[in-house]
Amino acid sequence: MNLHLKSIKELRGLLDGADLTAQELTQYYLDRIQKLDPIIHAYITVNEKAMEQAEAAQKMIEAGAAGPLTGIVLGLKDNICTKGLRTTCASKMLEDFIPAYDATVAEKLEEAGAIFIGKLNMDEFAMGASTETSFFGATRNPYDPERVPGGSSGGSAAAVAAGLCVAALGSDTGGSIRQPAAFCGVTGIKPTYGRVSRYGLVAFASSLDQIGPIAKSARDCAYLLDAISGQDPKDMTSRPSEAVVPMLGESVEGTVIGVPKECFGEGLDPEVRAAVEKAIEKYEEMGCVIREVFMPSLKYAVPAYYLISSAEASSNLARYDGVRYGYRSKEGKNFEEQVIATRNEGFGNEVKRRILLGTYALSGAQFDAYYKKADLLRRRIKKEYEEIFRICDCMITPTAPEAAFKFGEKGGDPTELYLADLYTAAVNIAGLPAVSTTCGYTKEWLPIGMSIVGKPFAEGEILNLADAFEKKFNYILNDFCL
Amino acid sequence: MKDQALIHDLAALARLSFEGEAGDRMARDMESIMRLMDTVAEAEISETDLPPAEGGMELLREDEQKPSMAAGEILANAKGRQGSFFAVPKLIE
Repeated sequence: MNLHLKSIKELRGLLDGADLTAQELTQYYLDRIQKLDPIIHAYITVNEKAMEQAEAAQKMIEAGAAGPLTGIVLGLKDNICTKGLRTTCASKMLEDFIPAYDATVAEKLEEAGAIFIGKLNMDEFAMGASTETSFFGATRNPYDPERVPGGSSGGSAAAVAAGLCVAALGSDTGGSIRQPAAFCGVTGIKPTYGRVSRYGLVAFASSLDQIGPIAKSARDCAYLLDAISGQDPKDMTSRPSEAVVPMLGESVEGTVIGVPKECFGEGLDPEVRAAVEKAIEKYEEMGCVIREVFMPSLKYAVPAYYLISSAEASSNLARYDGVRYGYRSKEGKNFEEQVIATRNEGFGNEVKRRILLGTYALSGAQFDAYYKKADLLRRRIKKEYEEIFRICDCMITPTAPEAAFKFGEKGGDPTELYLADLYTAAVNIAGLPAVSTTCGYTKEWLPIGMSIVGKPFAEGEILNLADAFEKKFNYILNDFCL
Repeated sequence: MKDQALIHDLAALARLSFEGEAGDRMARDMESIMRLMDTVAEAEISETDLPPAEGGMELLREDEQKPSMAAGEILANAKGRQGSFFAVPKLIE
């Protein structure tokens, strides 16, 4: 039985009907990881206690206390703290860090009876769009192992795509859930800022970071999203929200979809453009109303995002000094020298570039020109979205300007990779929800993703739209899933 | 951000250091990055016509005393410790 092709709902039926035990499902995935992960390299750590969690889940099922995720095998991005289970952020700095507490999302999923099969690879400290900056080595794309899986949640997307877990959690600061989901042919949602608690997520840019699900479908994402959403006393930016699963299956007829002209111009690969335009036509056939809209400030989104996120990162990463946790250098004659040596040896080049950029943007002489301007642009971009949402229910854009690229193809100039965030970063800047789902394939059979962007806390509406499209879309499986 | 001296100053603020070839490479990378960031510096924008910045401080929880983690748990990841303290090299010679 190809269990890795089954949806959460189908697995729920097998588990509740006693046709499958949580231990059997866990062993199935452990076997797949052992066989396939040496090629994909999605996992940094496989959880040795997964079978213990499976036994506990099986008891819940047998007691009739199972919820939607009881016994479901999940992977977690390795920047989500898990008590007693190594959490590295894909950095030498945290190579042997074992958290003393669980992130709120991990706690909620554990209470729901989910099984954590392991911790997934990513770009170091979530800074990157290819997973190539991981200290542990890059993850490979299941559709073509010569290509990147995207990033920073590349391990999460590749693991789902290759059938190495049922679903996974990622985190998204500027596109880090949606772009890898698009590259790997799966579905990923970046929730509204505040829907999901960030407590226990290793901080990159605190005003932008959000945890969200990556799964085989919008419906599977919805099950995970409902399990991890909610206000949390440990994160003052978190807010209460409504469940999204009950909203799936509703008619999409009459939905007004905005198509921003600026997202279909220069820099967009023709194959990606054609696939997204075809998907928009499909929505029109379903009775949606398509309107052209304008976002004149979109051209500022990428640099504004990098200035804001790097400024926050330079502050958040100041904590890594080798004193309380993490790597500590053996070099240095005194405390100050040891801290500098620790940071020099513990951080990779991309992390150092972001720290320097953030330090520069926040320095006295440059603050007004860079950080303050970026903050003003953030407010202008947010205003432009608000104006669009007065006349539209949602927007559709490409997720990334192109499909998955080859390893090393964009290694020369760091800004080449920054432009991968062209269509995603503005969504984080405005704190909005967006779901990426597959809408086509290139001539080389690489997946193409489109993003549906919603109003604040409209995850139910955008997941319903993605679900409606997915039901009519013909998926092509990668070699690892056949 | 063209010169090595600026990279050196920023690195000192960020508690990093770049010597020789590493410094040259970082200066080149940062020059390219700053070309992209200059789009922001050159943008025509002011506070007028923009919605007010959000505060986001309205959901603070009550300030209540709660149990702390055990010292042993907090110290478990430290590379240097003495008793229930973090140990570091001398701060003052």
